[in-house]
Amino acid sequence: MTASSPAFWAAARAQLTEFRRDPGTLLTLATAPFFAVILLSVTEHGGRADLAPYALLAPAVMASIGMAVMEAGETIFRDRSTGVLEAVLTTPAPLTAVLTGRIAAITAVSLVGIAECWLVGALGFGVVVAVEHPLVFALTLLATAAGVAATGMLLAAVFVVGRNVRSFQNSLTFPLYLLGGAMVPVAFLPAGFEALSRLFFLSWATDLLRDSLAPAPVAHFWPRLAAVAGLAAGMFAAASWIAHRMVRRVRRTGTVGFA
Amino acid sequence: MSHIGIDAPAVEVRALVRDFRTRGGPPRRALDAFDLTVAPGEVHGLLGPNGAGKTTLCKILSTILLPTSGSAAVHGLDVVADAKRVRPLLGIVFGGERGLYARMTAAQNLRFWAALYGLGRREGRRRAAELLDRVGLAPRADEPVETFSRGMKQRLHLARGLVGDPRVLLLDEPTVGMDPVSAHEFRDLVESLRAEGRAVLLTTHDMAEAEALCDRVSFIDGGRLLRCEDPRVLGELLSRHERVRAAGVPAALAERIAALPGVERVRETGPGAVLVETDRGGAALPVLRTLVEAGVTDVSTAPPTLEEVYLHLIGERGMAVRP
Repeated sequence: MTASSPAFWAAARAQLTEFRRDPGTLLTLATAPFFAVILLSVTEHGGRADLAPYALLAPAVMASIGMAVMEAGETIFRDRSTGVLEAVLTTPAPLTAVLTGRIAAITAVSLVGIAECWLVGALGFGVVVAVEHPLVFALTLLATAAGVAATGMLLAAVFVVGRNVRSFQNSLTFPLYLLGGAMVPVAFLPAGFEALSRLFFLSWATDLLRDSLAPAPVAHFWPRLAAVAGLAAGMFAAASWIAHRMVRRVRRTGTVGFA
Repeated sequence: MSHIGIDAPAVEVRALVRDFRTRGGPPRRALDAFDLTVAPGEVHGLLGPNGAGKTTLCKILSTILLPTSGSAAVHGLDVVADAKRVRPLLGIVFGGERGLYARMTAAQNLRFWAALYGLGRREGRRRAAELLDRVGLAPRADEPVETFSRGMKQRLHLARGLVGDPRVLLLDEPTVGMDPVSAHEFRDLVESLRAEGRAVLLTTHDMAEAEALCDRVSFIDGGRLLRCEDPRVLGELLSRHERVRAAGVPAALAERIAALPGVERVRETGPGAVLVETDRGGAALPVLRTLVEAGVTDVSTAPPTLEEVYLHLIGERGMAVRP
């Protein structure tokens, strides 16, 4: 048996254990309901009940991408500072298997944000947003989760190079929310922004998710889903390549154990 | 592609060089044309002061550091070209408290590491339980590692090093932080590893430990191999350079002791307190006799420290870290 598959599942279990032992790592999820309250209050007060799906989807997507930046992005950095990365690299398991396992667990947990926001709508405002196209929603959510995980993996590999990770994390979240169309559909952005955002899987994903909540038929579903999956796959490939390069670099420079 | 050589040396290092870049200065050479051979089933001690190159060697062998030049092989497999095939053969225990998930329990940690060596869940559980028992941590298996003492973490590191059932075990100062009882149990563990036919490369500052455990010992300094010896040579060094400490020694008595045969030096370490250094076996006995006959009873003997042996092996630089 190769070490990849057991390593993936063991890393995922280790990450879930970390969540249980340190609930502070779930802080991003704790903020999602508050954002949902703010946004839904605005739409309800403005008499725009039609925007309720936007108001609930935005904080859920923000929670997921926020977890990718804050938690997934730190995985290698943290393992490096605690000496775990050094030990991982001496084992037969590929680093990408360990990394993917942990980030998959983080992403799965981050999807709890959707349930939180929907509950805020239902219990706090009596607003129940129906999923009009369940298959579209489910498939898009799956592809989105893969993209969020790829984003986390890419950031994890990139953050290793820098030492001031917190500043990067704090600066990155809002540009990602913007380019990903989490709060505002990218079609509403100035032309230059929209063109740039179309290179980011999340802009396609948020449009599709919003469409899946509306009664109107979803136009060009499969090509749009392919765009989400393709861009996510590209990001995953880039993340794997950067992680591989990073390992080569720290082995060459003798800085595996530095943080 | 090379093949795993069962009869090949467990570790074979030839002309190994590792340079580290320094800011604005010339590269620092951590290993300099280093040679070493460890036979299968051999327990080999690597003795040297801080910065001697011991940990650098362990890191290169464990594939997490690339050499600048030269070669290193584990059972005939090159650690650079065949790194993926070398890793399953190796277990590594770095000294210190790092390298474990602090919030996870000892058992969870070991199951995690077992999976990284390709063990399935059931096999991983069995292996973790067996190893926790072997290192004496079974009663604390379900407690978070962050609650462990330094010595307990060190024992868990040992278990982690064994989780992949390695043929070669690299132990980088494994008894740091262990209490004497645990250190004694560790020696028993290394003996059992030898009996199982595993090769062990042990870096240590503790000469008594090296003497007790090792089939051969190598002295390393400045990245170079100084000497590779039978551990009995260590025993000779330890007895030859025995020291005597005494308090309440008048100056005239100190002068008499300095004149005794085999006494290398008498150092004043405080008012009336002296440290007598000898340079031949049995020389401590007349020193003790002279002190006791003169009515001095606050006396103790001790083997030389690694620093003192180094003074004899490498000169007056002793344990000072090289620039």
